[in-house]
Amino acid sequence: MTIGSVYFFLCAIACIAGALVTVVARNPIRGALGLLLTIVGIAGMYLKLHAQFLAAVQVIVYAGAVVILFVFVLMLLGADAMERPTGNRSPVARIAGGIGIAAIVLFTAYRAIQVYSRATNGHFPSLSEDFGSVKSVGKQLYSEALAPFELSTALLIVSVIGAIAVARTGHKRTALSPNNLTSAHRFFGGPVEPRDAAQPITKDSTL
Amino acid sequence: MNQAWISTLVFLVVSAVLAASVMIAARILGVASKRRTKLTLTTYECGEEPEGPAWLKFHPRYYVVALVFVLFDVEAVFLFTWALILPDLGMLAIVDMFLFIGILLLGWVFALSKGALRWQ
Repeated sequence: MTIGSVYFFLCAIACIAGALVTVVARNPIRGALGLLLTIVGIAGMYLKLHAQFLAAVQVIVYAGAVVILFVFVLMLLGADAMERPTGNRSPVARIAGGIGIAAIVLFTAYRAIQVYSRATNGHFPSLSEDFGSVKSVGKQLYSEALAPFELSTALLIVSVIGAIAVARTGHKRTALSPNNLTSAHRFFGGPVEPRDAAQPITKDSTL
Repeated sequence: MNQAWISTLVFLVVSAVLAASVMIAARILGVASKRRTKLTLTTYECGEEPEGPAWLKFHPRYYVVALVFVLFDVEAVFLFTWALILPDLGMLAIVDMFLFIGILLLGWVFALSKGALRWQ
């Protein structure tokens, strides 16, 4: 077993363990962290495939930004939305899920055997030295893929406009609801007068 | 394996050891109570009695800030490739990137004009 295959197995274990945690975890924050583990594992596999730029983007954008967005959503919903749904799933759903997973595994195994059989072994074209490096990706991006690159800004713009429209900022502020109470309201039921630091705290001094 | 990947490996190992050593040191040096009472499991709040749930709802305005962050994060990713390719492509790359940043700036101006980045 070479170092390369040990590395591959480590990444694969990280991916699968993270995916399992994402699905199984009772606490949604743990699920988001499981997703993070999967994303880092996939980034490691990109490195093994000589796609260094893709690996870096995977860590910067997915691990750095997308998982943060997920965690933000969980924090916005608060603890109320985190209770595990009760009640068992129907047998039909269980059977359908099992068949679906079995079909995916069988198809993947079939394709893997097809691609990596002895007949095709060694028939892949060799890659150039700087394949997947940041520079070669940039060369493609700013010459051949210029139009998609500029069009991707449209996607980013739409996401920003959508987010602002959903969050409805700029509307006039509504009365204090449990959502936008200050911590002083939450804990003391109203604004708190600053305490005179020169006076010692006694039993009947107000907060 | 070339030299660059060995330094990457060393970096990963050192960061993992650093993170693990802090947790192991806390486990060895920390004083833990033998009995697990209800008080042991409460949140430590600097001597104050903990009040209210720890899991508060956050205001959605944080989400807008996070989304605007993602926008500029993606922009930064494209800047990495651009910086490396700049000497080869020259003027074309400069025009490309200023078009790209110009369009994204429209989104930023929209966010500013809607007050999305203002802390009300």
